[in-house]
Amino acid sequence: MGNIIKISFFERVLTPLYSNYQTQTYFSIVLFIAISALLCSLLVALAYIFSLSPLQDSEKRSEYECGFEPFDNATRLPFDVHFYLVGILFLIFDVEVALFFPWVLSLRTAGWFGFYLMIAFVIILAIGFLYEWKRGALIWPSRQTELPYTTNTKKKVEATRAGYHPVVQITGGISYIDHFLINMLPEILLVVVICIVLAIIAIALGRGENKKQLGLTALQALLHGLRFVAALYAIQLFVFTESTVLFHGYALSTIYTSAIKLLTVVSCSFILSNSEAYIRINNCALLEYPIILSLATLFMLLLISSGNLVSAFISLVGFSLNLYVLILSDAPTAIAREAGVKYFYLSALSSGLMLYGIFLIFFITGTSQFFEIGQFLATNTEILISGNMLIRLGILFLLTGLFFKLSAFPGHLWAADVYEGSPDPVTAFFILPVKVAVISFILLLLVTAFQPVIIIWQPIITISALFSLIWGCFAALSEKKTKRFLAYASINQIGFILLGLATGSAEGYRATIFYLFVYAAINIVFLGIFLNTRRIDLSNLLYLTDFRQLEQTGAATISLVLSLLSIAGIPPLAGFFGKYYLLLHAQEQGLYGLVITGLFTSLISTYYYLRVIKIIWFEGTEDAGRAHTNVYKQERAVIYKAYIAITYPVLYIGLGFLVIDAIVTSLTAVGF
Amino acid sequence: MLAIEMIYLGVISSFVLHGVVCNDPRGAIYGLFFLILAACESGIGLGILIVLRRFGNSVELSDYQQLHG
Repeated sequence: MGNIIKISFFERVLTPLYSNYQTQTYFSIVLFIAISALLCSLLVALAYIFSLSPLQDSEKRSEYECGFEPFDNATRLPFDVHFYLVGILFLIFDVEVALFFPWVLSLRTAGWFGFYLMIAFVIILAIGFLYEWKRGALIWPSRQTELPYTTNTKKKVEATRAGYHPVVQITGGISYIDHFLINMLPEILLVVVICIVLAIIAIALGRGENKKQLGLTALQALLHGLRFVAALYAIQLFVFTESTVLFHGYALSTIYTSAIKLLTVVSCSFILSNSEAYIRINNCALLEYPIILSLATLFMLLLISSGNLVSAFISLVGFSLNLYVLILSDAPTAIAREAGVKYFYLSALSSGLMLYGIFLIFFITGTSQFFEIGQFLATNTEILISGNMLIRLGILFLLTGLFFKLSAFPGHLWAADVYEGSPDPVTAFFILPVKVAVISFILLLLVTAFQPVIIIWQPIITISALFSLIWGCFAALSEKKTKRFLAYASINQIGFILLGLATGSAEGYRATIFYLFVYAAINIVFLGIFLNTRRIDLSNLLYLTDFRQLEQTGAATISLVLSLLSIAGIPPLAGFFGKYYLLLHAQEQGLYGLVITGLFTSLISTYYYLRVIKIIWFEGTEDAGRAHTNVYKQERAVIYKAYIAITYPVLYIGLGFLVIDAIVTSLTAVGF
Repeated sequence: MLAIEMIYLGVISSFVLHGVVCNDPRGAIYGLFFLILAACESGIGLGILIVLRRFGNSVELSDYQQLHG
């Protein structure tokens, strides 16, 4: 395999074409379109002609692999839904076998490390299947009986596992074991914890234990697991100061990734610890919820540390898969189902776009490693001069897909609907860890891979930032429902973060990271109150006006007010410095349009943040409304205060810059 | 769902094609990974359909219009 000379498509085909006639490339594209159109219509026509002729023989009437007697002709009659249950089951093992083939063929080169990785994969798959079986997901209830919506959930765990392992499997090679163990320890640990919890639940279910009790236990166990992982990252942050490239570049480990991972894990465990009350009251799929949430966390950690477009895409889709299921964990509610369907279709579409972008980049540069792409683009500057459309399209598609996951401008329309329909903790999950992970990935990607072609992506990000700022702030103005308000406000804040990315300068990136931490800290406070405050009638701060029921002087309320002021950009608080530095560096880079829009929307957003404060302090009534707030507040108070303690330093002292400096230095070490 | 699968398969075949054109085995390997992802995605899609059927009794998308974006 090593003897094969890899040449990029660019060197082989495009370069000679450029040296002749540039128009020739366009001619070949036209030819390509013509041939594909012809081929498609030919196939459709043939199928149509043959479907009309009444060819009936015994073979045609017998069962094919789906196990059904053929019925009717090739119209679009729907199958029994029951059939899909079998279909999903088939898919899992299909995937497993597909993975086995290359493994068997390359066993000699992969060595024992590769061998044991595959064994680990099979064990994980087996645990997932065991769980599914014991959970009763394979039984189709006769008439909507009480068997809950586990089918997809369980399958999910297995399916996502299948997605996870390729990353590891590809990398076999015994010399990497040491690095692998040291740097990936937290992730491996998380996998092991999830598997053990899954196996224990499966066994306990087999014995007929109480599901609700089991779910709570699982939640606690995974919570401890996540906290331990967070502690490991904190240690990593201070102990390992050098940057490491793992798995031939498929994963990176630097101070930057450790810091962002720490932030992600902390916010995930924050959400997990605060979702118990919601899950218990609303009778969600409690048993699976903590497991899927931890799995999503795992994929986000992989995303943050990925150093290759392929492993990044796998982890990105991996956590999207988990999110579909998380949204539907409240499936008996109509709006949750609607949100789940909407998110599924749109997200899958954007993943497809992204995949095509990745392909185009791989096509042109002949590599998918961030660093190699960066080197290629830096050395082959004729790409820019000759105006190569493919690389532009590739970056455009890739960024558009990522913007969707971020709910930034071209892909922001789903945000309000999905946030509103999802269970509260899942909304929090969208707002906090998902955004943190995706932004840090975009930053790493731009810095390491696309810095040489900044003229291509700067306009894309600028436009996205511009419209996210405007859209988010005007839509939030008139919003009455809390979750929709949160959605639009976060679109506006994402606009600010993209503004920092658009600067394309080291100071701009530094300000971006700082603002990201501020964003996370402020949202932890806001969501902490949102998730923990609950009236007895369960309406849970559904509308913004419900905030008047908060107690006016409690520590929680005061920190909420402070954080709202902070994100609005009132001077002594960290949010002000965040916005100030972002705008300052954007102005240094000459992005005046963005700066003016940023200032303008920041002013307007001050209005709606102040509106919430006004509701809390000046519209409070002495009626019965306040009497039954905060049912769960007391029992969660201890954990909650711990998080507040974490967020205060970042929020109010603004000295986070010390940490940020170290992080940015490590980015520089990575090659920027 | 079919359409989404088509998008994925289209890109995957491009990857494999690239592998063939450029003597690059990575094209085919990446194609395999993405194929697996697409399979996972459709697995969940089917799961969602089942959930819709069980609780909503309808898999017509036009029946889901409560949230007005």
